[in-house]
Amino acid sequence: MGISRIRSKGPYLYFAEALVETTTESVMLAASSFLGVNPTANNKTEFFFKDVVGTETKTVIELTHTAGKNKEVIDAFVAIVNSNPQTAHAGMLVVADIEDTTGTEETTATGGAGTSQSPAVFGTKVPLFHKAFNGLVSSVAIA
Amino acid sequence: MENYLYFSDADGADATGDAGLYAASRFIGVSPHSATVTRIFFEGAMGTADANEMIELTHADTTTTADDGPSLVGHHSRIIANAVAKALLPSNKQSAGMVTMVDLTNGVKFEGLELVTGVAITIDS
Repeated sequence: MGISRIRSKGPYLYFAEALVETTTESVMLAASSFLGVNPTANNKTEFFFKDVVGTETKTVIELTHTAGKNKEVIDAFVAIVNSNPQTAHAGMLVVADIEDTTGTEETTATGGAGTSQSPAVFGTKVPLFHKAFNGLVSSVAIA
Repeated sequence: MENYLYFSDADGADATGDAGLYAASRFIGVSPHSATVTRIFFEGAMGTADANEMIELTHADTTTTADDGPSLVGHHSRIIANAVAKALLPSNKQSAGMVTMVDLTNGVKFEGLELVTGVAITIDS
């Protein structure tokens, strides 16, 4: 079976904000739903996709990056999308994931409400940006 | 040729909304709804009205942990999203076909979806 015969919308891209708890604080969507880009400042570029949740006109991913590097970030995005074309069973590509949960305890050893944060004990989810950005991207917001 | 993803709730696939089958080519996206709920969206499948189909998965809260619990992995939507991405494309070793994602009636779950405990399908969401 040739890969070119596989019908799908992939590759699939993942973005997440620092706090992932409710609608569009993270999204996984198909690269084929990409609509366009809009540089809104010298350190911010928006990427537009078809709406995921059905209640917006579009899904907007805003990447914050090194000043003056809008084109480089856009170029890196294209490289990411084309870096893993429809490879069978490949899973998703993590483009920008800044979820930084640190171990907030729900309950303490004595059963009380937990308030402590101890990454050393409970682990920390480390923010991750695709290597194609070469360190230029520092944050992501989803709307 | 493409994969088709199957979801079913726990009380049998014998009434409207109990189960659904979605073509990979009609996939839209995955997004969390709460700490314990993640939603998967596909293009409408009923032929009328046809707003998106929404599959709501209830799962463990992996953003916080009980005392002395395991290390955190962040919101479970990331695990679910990766599982969905894998299922949307056929395996190198298999022909395209139906992939059971979560079938709570028969106790079958796709790799990575073991912590899913509930399925709710909303037609024309």
